[in-house]
Amino acid sequence: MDRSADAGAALFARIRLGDAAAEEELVESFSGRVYAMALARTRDREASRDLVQDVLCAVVHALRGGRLHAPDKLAAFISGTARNLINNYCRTRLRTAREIPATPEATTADADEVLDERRRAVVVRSALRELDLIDRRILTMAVVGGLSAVEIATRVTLSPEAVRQRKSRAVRKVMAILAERYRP
Amino acid sequence: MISNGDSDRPAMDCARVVRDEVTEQYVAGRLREDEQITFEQHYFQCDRCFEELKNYRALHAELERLSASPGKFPALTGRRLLWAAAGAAAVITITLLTWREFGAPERITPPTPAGATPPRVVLEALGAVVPPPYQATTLGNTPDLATRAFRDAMRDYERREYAASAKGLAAAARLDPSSPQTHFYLGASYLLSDDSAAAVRALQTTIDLGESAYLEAARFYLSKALIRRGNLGGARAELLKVVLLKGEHERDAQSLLAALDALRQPDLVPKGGLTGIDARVARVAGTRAYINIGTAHGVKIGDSFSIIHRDQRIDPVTGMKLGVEEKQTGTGVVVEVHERFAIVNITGTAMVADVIKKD
Repeated sequence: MDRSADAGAALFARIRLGDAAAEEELVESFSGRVYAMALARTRDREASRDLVQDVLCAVVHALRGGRLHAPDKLAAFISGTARNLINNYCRTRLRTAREIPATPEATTADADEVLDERRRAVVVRSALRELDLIDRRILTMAVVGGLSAVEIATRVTLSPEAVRQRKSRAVRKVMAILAERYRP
Repeated sequence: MISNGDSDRPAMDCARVVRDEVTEQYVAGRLREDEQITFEQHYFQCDRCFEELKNYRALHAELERLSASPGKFPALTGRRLLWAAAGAAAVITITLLTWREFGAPERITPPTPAGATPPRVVLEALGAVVPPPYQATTLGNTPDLATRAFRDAMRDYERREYAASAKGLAAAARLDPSSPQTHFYLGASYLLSDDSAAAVRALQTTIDLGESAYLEAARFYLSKALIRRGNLGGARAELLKVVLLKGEHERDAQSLLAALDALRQPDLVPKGGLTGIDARVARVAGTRAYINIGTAHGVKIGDSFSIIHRDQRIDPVTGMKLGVEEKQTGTGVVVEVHERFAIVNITGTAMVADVIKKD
């Protein structure tokens, strides 16, 4: 979907007129982003999948009711709504009963996300196998452990600058392999 | 509940995302809230950065999976292993033993967040702390104002008057904001006086000050504070860092990680607390090990035990349990015995949650 301001305003207008295809388009276009935000904030895949549906249902209802005050800022509206609902969930960790049943479109988008994650993981796994052991270790310490280059340097007997370079090169290599071999 | 307030925030561009490694920080949960919001607003409109985010997420997940695979960090394999249940039980045991050793006032009862699933007894055990030891040092030259304030506050700390030490250390930290030692003991004092939110801030400051003698301990105690706040994901991230630092808290961190993993699989947590748990190593301190049986179980001074390490083997393809491999890693002789725990001198090696068998 075209995510420009004009395209967002046009999509909003179609949803206001009751165009079901426009709602589908919106769900397909934003479910991945809402899932990404939910996962980053909750660290819980299952809850994130539920939240995608909650958020998109709330957005669709709000759009149908004309509650978007700046039609050219649809993406910002969705990200704001998503953040509010996700933060509410994080604060209470209690799921409220949904007022709106999940739409079939949301379910399909959800399955697509899961499939996308799995297929991407396969490519990443093969990319990591192509890295030096030391680079893999540096990546693990930096990305998973959150250690600084200085902290890593003392553990791999390299200079912090060498650690920074190796990490950066390793990330670039994995990303290049993903770009080359992964087709959504 | 529904807002479109995002439209007024300052924008982020792709160049900044790349330059500041924003995606990596976001996936790891290390961005400040305002940076996080700005990045989210950006990738909701930018296909390129959203694609990169998905790639980073896959990379992060895969590296996390690899770091938890058998052979590298054995204690992190708990999600699929019964081992994890033993780890959780061992953590509970350690805590109970600690309470007995240091008395009830140090026990911290974490608030149970609404809707949280972990059993309360397990959360209480995971969130409990032992006061970090403090050894006063005397230097020849005249101490400055900040040092004097620190020493005065630490006298309260040594008397276990943690609310008073927190107040004094906060004053010392204002006088010398660059002292990791002051911030660390300030965090510990807050934790011990039941103010976990302030403890998180002080311990995070210790970490933010960079490499110091308190870095590993600060991360370990920060994980405890986060557990008390109900932030188990954050606690897990800190514990992973502790394990990677390979310092004195590594084993305790591994046990806690296994326990947190067990919490994700409630069926692995033993029902009814410690009832029915086999004899296990609860804590290892040098050549001594604490075991979770004592006079109540017929243990006497001079009794000897074998220490058995158990590894559950998992089929890497199907994920099915293939069986348990047992290996004797050492022996132990009881040198001190209490009602429900005993201390043994060990020959060979022992790890928390290893099985104890009477010879």
